[in-house]
Amino acid sequence: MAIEEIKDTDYAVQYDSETTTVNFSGLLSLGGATEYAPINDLLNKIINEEPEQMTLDLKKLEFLNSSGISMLSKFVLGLRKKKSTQLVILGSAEMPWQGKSLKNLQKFLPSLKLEIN
Amino acid sequence: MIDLGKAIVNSSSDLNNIRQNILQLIELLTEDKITATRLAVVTSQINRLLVGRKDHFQLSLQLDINIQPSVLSIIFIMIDKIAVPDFIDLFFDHVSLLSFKDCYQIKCDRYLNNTTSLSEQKIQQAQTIFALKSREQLMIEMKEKNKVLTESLNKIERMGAELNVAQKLQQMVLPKPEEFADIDSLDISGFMQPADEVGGDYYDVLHTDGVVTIGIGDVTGHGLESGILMLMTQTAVRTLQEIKERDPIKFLDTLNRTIFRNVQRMDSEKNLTLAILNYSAGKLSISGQHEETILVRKGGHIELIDTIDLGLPIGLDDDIAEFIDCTTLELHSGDGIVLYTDGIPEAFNLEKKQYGMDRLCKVISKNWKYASEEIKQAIINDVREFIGEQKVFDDITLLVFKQN
Repeated sequence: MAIEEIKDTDYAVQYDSETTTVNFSGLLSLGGATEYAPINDLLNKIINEEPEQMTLDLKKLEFLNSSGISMLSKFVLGLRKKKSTQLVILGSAEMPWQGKSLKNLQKFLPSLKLEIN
Repeated sequence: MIDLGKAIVNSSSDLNNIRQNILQLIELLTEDKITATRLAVVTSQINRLLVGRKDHFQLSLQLDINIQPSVLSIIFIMIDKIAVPDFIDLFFDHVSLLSFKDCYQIKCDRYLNNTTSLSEQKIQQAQTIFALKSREQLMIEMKEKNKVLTESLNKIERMGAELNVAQKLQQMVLPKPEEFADIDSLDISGFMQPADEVGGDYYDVLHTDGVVTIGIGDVTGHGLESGILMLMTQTAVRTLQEIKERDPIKFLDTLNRTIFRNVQRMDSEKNLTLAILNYSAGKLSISGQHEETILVRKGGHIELIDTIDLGLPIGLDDDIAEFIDCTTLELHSGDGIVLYTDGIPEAFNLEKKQYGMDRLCKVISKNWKYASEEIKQAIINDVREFIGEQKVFDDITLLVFKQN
């Protein structure tokens, strides 16, 4: 099982290629688009392989700052043109930041499957 | 093989100094002034020849005492192949041209017959000759170091200047307290504190013909670019307010397209949250997506107004018209609104806990009986007390207004 991982003391972003799921956890508050580039590159790399489904599991992501939300929004906006992949985002109602930001993603990409528990 | 010394030789090297070092070194090892002089002179000649043809090369002196007789080698190391000057043979016992993967070497060997006097102490003494750098070499190194130092100092200065400009931009366009005093119907106080790195918070209060337009927003990221985007937003809001655009959808849609196209041109990754509030004779409308708007009734009772469905972030997409909506409510005397950016609820303390909405609402409710200035100050004091010694990561912006 191939797993790619981007992590620091506060957060971890792990890709499980078998389930095409990217698992986010911890507090993500990097400084701007340049610092988010490795994560952005990972997401785009996965989507360029055109999997049938791609899942972003944010249930354990306690915090994502505005630059991170912006990165995620742009990624989702970019998927409007890539109809071959079904994007699934898993969120948690327990994380205060998610309610608002994840709802926006749904507006950007109506086909998005947003599952919040 | 014992390394006796090395020197980089180029057109700015002091060849005389190198010659003297070689003379001193060989004389020490051989105790033979004539041999030392001859070898120093021929080495110097080769140096001159090579410097003339090449940009630079390395001179290396080695001693091998594990073979009989012991061998002193003077080695010229260079990147490109060069013909061995034929006069060298007269001065050395053996001369060879060696090719390596990344360099060529002319190795000139001289057998040392009198090796009994080669004590360890003597060899160490010989090694110090080249280790002591020539004055010229020190000067060159110092110049190099100075250059690097000057460059980094200039860079720091530029970064400082950029930070300064961004901070000034942000403060320059904020509404003045005198302007608030001109608005009879509302008691208004505003506050903005830039983070250690400047962010792109925005707030404004504009007043024309009895209509008060209030804007609050937060540009993603930090630095000059965020500051510029904030400035453009302020101008766009003011323009739309000046032409009396009262339709919230047209207002935000036009503003979004303006910012979106400029952001595209700037090749920027930034966008912003933005809420626009219009107040006129007790009626307040809210449109655009930003943090929850805090509506406070006279006795301090709080209602949170979600703005998620009133818009989308500005500058992310070129058409957001279908997502813009507007909510209206009535304000009575003593009622009011608290607007803020995420720097307040998302402020971290040293334990990595966030300030949060509950604490914000509590401090507002408790202090609502006072004037807007005191309420504002109470909130700021509470947030500062919470943050403690922690670094302030984001701008902190706050706007409080109460109907008189």
